Amino acid sequence: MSDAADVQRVLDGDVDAFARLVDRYYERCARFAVRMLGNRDDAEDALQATFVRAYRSLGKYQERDKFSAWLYRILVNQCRSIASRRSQRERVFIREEAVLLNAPDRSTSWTGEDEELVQRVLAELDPLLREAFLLKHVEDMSYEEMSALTGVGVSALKMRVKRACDRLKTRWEYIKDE
Amino acid sequence: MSDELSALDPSVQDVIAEARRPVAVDASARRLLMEAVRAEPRPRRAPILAWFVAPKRLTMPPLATLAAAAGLVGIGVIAGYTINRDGRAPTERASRAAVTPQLPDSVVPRAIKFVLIAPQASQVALVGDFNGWDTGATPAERQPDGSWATVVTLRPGRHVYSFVVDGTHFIADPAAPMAPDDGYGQKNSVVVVAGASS
Amino acid sequence: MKVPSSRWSLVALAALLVPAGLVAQGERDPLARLPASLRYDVEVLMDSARIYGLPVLPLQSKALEGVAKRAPERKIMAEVIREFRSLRDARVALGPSVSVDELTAAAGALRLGITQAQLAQMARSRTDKILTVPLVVLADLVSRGVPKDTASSTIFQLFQKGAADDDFQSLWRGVERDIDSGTDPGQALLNRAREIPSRSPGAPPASTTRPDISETQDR
Repeated sequence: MSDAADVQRVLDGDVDAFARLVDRYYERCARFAVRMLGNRDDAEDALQATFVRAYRSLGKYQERDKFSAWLYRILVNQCRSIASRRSQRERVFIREEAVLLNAPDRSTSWTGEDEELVQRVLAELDPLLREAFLLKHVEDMSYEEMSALTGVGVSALKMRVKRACDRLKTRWEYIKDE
Repeated sequence: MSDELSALDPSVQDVIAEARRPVAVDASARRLLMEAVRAEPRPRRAPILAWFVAPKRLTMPPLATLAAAAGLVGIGVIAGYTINRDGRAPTERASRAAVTPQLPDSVVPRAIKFVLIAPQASQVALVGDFNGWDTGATPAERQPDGSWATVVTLRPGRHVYSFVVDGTHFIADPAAPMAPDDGYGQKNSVVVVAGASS
Repeated sequence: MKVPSSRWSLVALAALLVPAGLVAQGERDPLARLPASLRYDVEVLMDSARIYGLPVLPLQSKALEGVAKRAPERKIMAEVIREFRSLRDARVALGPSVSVDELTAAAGALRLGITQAQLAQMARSRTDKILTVPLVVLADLVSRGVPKDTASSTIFQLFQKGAADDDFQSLWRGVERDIDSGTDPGQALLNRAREIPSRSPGAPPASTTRPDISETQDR
């Protein structure tokens, strides 16, 4: 069953066909949302909003677009929306500042498990850098797809990915040494 | 794709490998999602006409604008300039300078002479917040009378500085007000450069 | 590419308005001198400072100073954090409409034990004068041994009575001379403070920006 065929079925009245689409994409989208937003609650909100919106606007999906690209455009926007609604105190830099100011001895609260460390190091990136990095290296999108999705030019995206990689390299090495 | 990947630093490859691992998903979240979907009205095909409309570009206000909306100050503000709402080149604030090329007096930098009497030294340099505390940036010159002098252009305002003798000894300027303890075990000096000419 | 001349003058204006005195050097990435981990932490604090509307360059400068003075990383970080806190507390004491110089001078005073309340009092009593020179002199006097409360109340009273930057400068010179010749610092300040004429409020202050505490004396 191709995505486009399932979309047609939904539009013909078969809601279960949408469940199949969700099955196909939920985990991938969840991974992006969690890596992007840094916590599961926000990620679940983003996923909910994404799929509901996708369902509502299924009529606007055009077969010539890749369904995943179309779906990701909604997902990326939902993640940005939720991130911007978070209160200022949750911005990662304020969190970092609190850590720095209150724990000068740097007694690490990290368990050392890699997933947590990766999540932490991703959270330290500027959101736009993180988004570009995830779309490129985790979602395996081409720069052209990313450009169509975000509305940002290819060279700007390449720059963001590069800056993300530079920052990650520094932070990852530092964290692993702790 | 794998070519690109191998060109990346190994640390970054590590991060990517970890980031690509699946995350645990909450089964009840999925269920709630489908319930919400079923509660929605059935989606309809868009009328044929809509298919000729170009897909809408999704735009997002740059973070600077969001930050401004959240009541923050200081983001994207450089002295005298603000960043445009869409992140493009700085716009010019209306100012006298736009009409005449003259700068307001209060920002005209001034040449300030720093002198240290240290006839035994073999080299003396000036360091401070105006040269990033770079010990190589502002060497002083030995004068005939054994003192060391250098002239630096500083903008009006408060500057913290010190002399460095022979590359390693930090010495406050005995003729200047003392700055608060530097925290590093040395003493600094303060200079306040005047603004208006008279 | 033709650029209108007014735009060139604005470019020149921008170049000279580069914040916090970075006129003398052309270093493109001063933070490159910091070790990577320290750099990141300093940048985090600088980002926070930016968000709070605090000046960021004093933090960068503090870090670079530590590198120049070969301090250990932990010490440098501790000092940058201290600077951050002092600036934040100074902002609370002085309010939002102060210049960067007043803020850094006030932060210095706070680190010497001047209280936020004392700073706030000075801020309240100022009209169109700036606090930088009085605060710089205040910090110097305390560093030289004048008791904090004596220094603070004396400087404040002089400021309130309309003393100008000129006056504070000659006050500083006189006190310094006296301390060097053996006078008790607190007493030296009180003596010299009496010499400063009171200028009635409303009378234009004598040249508030004239003095140049940069003039070095031959010793």
